[in-house]
Amino acid sequence: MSIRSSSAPPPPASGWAVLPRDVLWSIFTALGEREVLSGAGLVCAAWRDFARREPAIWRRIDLTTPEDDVVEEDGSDDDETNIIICKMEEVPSSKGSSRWKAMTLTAIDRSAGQCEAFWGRADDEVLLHLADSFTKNVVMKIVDKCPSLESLKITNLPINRWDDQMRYKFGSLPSPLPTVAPARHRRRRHTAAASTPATPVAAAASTPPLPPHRCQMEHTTGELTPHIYGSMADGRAPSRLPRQSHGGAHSSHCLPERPRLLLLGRPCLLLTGRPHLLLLGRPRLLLTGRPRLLLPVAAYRDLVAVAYLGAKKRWRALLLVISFLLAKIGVLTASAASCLGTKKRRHVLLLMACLLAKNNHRTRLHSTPPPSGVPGTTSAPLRRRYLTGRQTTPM
Amino acid sequence: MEVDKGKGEAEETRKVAEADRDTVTLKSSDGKLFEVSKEAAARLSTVLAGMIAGGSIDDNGTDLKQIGSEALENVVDYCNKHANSIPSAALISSSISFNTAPFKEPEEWERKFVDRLSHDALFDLVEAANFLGMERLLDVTCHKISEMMKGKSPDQIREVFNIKNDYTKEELEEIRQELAWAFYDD
Repeated sequence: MSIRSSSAPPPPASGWAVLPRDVLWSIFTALGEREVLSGAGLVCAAWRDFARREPAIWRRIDLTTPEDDVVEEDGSDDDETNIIICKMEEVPSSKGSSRWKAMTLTAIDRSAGQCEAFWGRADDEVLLHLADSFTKNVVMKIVDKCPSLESLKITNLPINRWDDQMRYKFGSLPSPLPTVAPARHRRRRHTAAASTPATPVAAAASTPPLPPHRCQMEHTTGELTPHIYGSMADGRAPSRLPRQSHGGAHSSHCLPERPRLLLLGRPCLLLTGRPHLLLLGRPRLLLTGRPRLLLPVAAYRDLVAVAYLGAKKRWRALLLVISFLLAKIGVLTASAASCLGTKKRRHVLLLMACLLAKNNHRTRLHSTPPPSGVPGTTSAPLRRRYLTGRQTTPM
Repeated sequence: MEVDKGKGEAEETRKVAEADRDTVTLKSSDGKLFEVSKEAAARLSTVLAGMIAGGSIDDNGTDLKQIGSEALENVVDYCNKHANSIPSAALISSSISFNTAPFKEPEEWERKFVDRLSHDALFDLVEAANFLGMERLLDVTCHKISEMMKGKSPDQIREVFNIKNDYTKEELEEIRQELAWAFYDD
């Protein structure tokens, strides 16, 4: 594609170029995000400006192509739950993939944290981008709502683009932030094609190997803090983590290869794993049926959240969770499964037992033997240990 | 006193008659008059509904200075056709669904209705629909427009709609950097 450069002064825009924004909005949403990115959104300055600066267009990002073998839910009643399913890209760094990725990252950027639903291919970087945009939105809201907030401690925040808006917000805080030093995180936006995410190996080199099933948490400013829980290094003070994890040029982009549970505070619950991932949207959507029920963060750890879904959705969510990723955090599912009926529970447990058995062969993923017997029968202390690791942090 | 009362009654009856009229008269920017059923107008256009409810409908033709006669003719045509067609369940549900929900496909007659329009007429119609707050008509026309854009490169779209490429050099460079994928051939 070539865009002619006109040295002559721009001629007056024709009627189509100055369509009212409402009309343009309707057209762009009817077109689909893929078309807007590669066609209509580039037609003229006005249209491009609209595509770039109107996050509402990007609330639903559907970048699937007919060829994409996207994991399809029948979707009939998913409107509420906003379960977002992506196909994990198996070979993220191949040249052919850079195009879709650049598109995806741009789309997510443009959504400015307002993305509510996403369909499309994804790899680690795309995921973190999505997570970032959620997280950023939350952080911004917190700062907005708490004008007298003096410090905000965020551990292991994967935000990698602290744009001007963000810096401005944090600039208004009176004291420098103890753990989130924006300078450390501030990073030029990657020209998407040029960014090469560090390989899992590189990430592993900068941080010690992460034990599986490890979720440490840190409460700092109570409910205000958007906690990021993930697998964290054993025995390491969480406050040191930002530096650690941002040591490498791109290491913050990289999820370790083993599955990791990222709980992005209230706003969303992101579960990642290979080869698929499941992103459960914002809790108000995730826990639909009872939007008023905002669970304490700790509840997420047992995925009890699922219990508040309707039976059908719960069942589906659980199946997805199990079959895609919770093979390695099986205990979580098991406890969630306890809220199912007998038949389904047996189904879940069987499935999980199979997966656990399969995973036992990969010893490197399991430094500790998985609980014996059916996971659902795990005793509470064992389960706790399993979840939090040997050095259980006080909760 | 008697006379005044008589006058008042006459006024009253005239008002009642006006309210009973089941059409409204619309006047285009170039002074042409069009009649459209009040029910359809109120149902399809939020702006007209507001005017009818607020009593600002002029018996001699409500001035719509923004809309040319050709576009207004199409609008009226659409309203009439819409009044004649039985609204399908899909159409009804589309009006109450979440506004980012996928657009419900236009019906066959709606498709035909916009297909016969020239580009200019389509443009005028979409503006008129936007001005009058006719959500469904706006959806249908925008759907048509989006179909005309689908699968086309920016260059092709410019050609179809006769849009000038008005990027400055800086903007071009920005696009080149930001949207690197657009310059891949594939």
